[in-house]
Amino acid sequence: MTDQHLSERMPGVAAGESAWSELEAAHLEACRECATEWRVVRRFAPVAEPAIDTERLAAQVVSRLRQGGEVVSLESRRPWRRVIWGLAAAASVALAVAVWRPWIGGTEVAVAPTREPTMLPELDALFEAELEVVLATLEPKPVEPIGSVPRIGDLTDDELELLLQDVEG
Amino acid sequence: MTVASDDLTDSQLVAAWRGGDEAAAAALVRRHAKVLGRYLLSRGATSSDLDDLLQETFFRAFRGLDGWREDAPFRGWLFRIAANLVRDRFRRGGGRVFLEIADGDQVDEADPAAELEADEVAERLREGMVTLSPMQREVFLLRVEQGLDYQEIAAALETTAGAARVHYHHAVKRLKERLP
Ligand SMILES: [Zn+2]
Repeated sequence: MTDQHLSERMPGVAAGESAWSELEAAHLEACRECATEWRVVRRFAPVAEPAIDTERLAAQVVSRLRQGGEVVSLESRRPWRRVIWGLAAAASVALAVAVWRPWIGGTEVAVAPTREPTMLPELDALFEAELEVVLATLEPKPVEPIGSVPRIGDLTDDELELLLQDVEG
Repeated sequence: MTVASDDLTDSQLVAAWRGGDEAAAAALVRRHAKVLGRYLLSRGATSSDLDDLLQETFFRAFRGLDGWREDAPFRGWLFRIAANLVRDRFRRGGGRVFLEIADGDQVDEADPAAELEADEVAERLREGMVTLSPMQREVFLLRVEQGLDYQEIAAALETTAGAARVHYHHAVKRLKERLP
């Protein structure tokens, strides 16, 4: 039983997809590191799936595909929705103001201690591009021919770990 | 050929849809709609908008299959499209992403000390989330809040499973440091 094994199992157990084995439960009881991680992970466990009429949705999607229509903006398809969205956004802002916290580390966050939804600023992550840029700025090894700078996908897990430690501190 | 079986893999259903089988597309919608709906709600969609957003996500996913790598999980592809949709929507609406933190397991509401502690833990995690990079935060939430595996996260965020795993463990490490 390793911490890594338990760590990989946590999201599934938190989601109720599986349960701890006796061995795992015993480790969790005895290991402070894993117990702390479990306290974190279970806080973010998935909420129940929403009630969706999947048959109707499937029929709608197939019907649109059959018509072969273009991808359209939701607003232009149903303009009145824009008004509702605006009202919802206004309500969200009101909620955010109600629970807003001082800036921490340069990023605004508001999180209520319950499962009432609150907000983070939009996460405009650069994703792979973010890492590719960092890679592109690294000094290429002198022995390597031009054009052999690795892509993220070429790195081993250990190399990724080192790179990300550099980037994230 | 008509494929109506929900026993087929996503890849098999996609292949069947590409061959003109509408039932295969419908099976994929039925399979993924609820998980995708939960994700859209967690990103600020309202229940009144959910149907439209889901329909648009699936429509774009099927229409844009040329952009999908066949060795990548289809569910990751759906999340990527859904994420782009809500990102566009929120960019127009002012830019918001929603975050939910549970108030803890089995907190006895009659026990003010336990409730206070639960509040404090949520507060510390909130602060911890702020310290994460956007990529760490997104990977962590997709993994824990949405139940995606690393391959699916990689497909959703256009990265690799190895990078997603590293981001996840860095996020967890930082959040753990916040707890007493
Ligand atoms: Zn352990």
